[in-house]
Amino acid sequence: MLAAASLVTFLLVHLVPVDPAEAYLQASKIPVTPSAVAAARMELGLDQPWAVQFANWLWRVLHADFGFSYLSRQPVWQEMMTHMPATLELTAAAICWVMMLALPIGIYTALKRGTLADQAGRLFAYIGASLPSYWIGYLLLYAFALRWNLLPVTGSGTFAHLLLPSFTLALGHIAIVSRLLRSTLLEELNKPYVLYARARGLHERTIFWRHVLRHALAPVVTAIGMSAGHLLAGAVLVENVFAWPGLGRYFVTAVFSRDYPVIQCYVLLLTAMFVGANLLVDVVQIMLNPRLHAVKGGSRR
Amino acid sequence: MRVFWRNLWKRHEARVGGIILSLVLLAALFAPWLAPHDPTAIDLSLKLQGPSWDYPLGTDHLGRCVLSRLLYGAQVSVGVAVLVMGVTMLLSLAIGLLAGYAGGWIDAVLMRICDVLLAFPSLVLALVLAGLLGQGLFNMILALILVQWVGYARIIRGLVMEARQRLYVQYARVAGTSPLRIMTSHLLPGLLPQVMVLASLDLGSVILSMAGLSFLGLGAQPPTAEWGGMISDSKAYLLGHPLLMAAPGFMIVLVVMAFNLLGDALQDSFDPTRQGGELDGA
Repeated sequence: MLAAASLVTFLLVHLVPVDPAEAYLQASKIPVTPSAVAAARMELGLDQPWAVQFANWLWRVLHADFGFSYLSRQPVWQEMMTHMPATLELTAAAICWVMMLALPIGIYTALKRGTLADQAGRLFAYIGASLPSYWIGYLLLYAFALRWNLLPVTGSGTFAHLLLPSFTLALGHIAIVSRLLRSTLLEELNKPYVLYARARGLHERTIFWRHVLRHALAPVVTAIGMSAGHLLAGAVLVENVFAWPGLGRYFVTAVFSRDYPVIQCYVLLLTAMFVGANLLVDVVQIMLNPRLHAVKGGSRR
Repeated sequence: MRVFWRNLWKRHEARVGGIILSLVLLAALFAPWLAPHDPTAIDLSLKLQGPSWDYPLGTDHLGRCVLSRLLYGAQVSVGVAVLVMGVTMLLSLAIGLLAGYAGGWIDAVLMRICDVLLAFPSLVLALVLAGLLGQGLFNMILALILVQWVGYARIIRGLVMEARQRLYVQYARVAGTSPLRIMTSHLLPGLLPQVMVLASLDLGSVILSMAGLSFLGLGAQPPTAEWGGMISDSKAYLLGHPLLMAAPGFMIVLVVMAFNLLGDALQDSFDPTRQGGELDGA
């Protein structure tokens, strides 16, 4: 899977109408003359057949060597690794927000079904799913940082810096996950085992917290795991709003200056993390649900 | 059909979504008559003014009328999203029908391509494509279509494979109907309701990704009025003029929400066994 993905990543750059050699020269601020282009083609190995280029590239990628950035002339992999922790921190914090807010909201709206609180939750879900993250980021920035001076404006470093960007990133996912939890909880409550538990005389509270909630959490875990991948990708926009020194901002700069090695490295890295997150979800899913032990390898997707 | 529309109208999601969308579409269509000013007319002596009778929502950093830009922006933001979705759906229908009906190696090859493309986070792929193809509205449209078709093609293929087993299709085959004709006149009509639901559910997310790309500076280029670009333009003036930021974003939220509401309602009306939509719950 990743091999095929790497082929696509490789082709992406080579099928685009702009010659990498020219992009290299432009990014390095060297005047684009025919002789300079020829020299750059030699230097970048672009004069060789595609298959050879791909094989060479793949071999180097397997050794975590993505070449040098056209812009900064530093090894791409090292630069990626310096930007990586910031993005991971942001994503992890966003997942914390999702768990901290989506679970209580989902449980509360399921228990108070049909009340005003439930309707409010519904409205929140619709709005939350329709918000452009960068826009709400700016509005939060305006309110908390510029108007009330409660939190720092942009940058990173302290816990206070982390609050706004991670909440911005998480907001849409909070809406979706809380709604999902509510509907699975209501579905579970209608199942026969709940009736049986009631007949056994178990306390409503025990039934809900010990049994129903546990069953309803499985799809929620899947949703949170899947959203981890989307959060990593969504960080591109949020990082640009809050000047967060992560992968996303690095990548957008690279896209604008056609820094091909950086683009390739980012796409491949993110795809690997995306696939990895989905794989992790499947594993956790099997651990949570003993019924899936029997059909090992029988993927749920 | 009459019953279908009446059922749809009964849901208040459909009513709210439908009314908002009709208003926005009318505003987009009649923008040349409704807009008080030329959306691209620059007048630096009038820059960053607050709301007034002449400029109901004030002016931006180049003295352009914000209300006029919002109205014309609807043409780009909503119009282009509908165009993207339309072309994407045509492409997915063609590929899904081909893969699902032909089966065999054609199906295998097409589905492996889908598998690989689905492994990429779509926002990132669209960003790379739009960036590498070069900044501009047309390239962004191309990038979004290239990224979007995959998921739908897969769903449509599944639906086709199911429909292929039905008796009416088997009968058509025995009667010697050509494969092309079976696909267009027997399979296609059955797929349309589902395709409509998928399209309306996802139009909102297309608008969001489009505005996101424009916000980053890919997509519609200045001086074109476009909501995502307007948000990006106004970020430098956030402290003194929050309305410049709030207005275009509010329009995006409104339209995206309307599409989501309508999509949920459509889904329910086509499938009465399903209660509630994605965000609606049981």
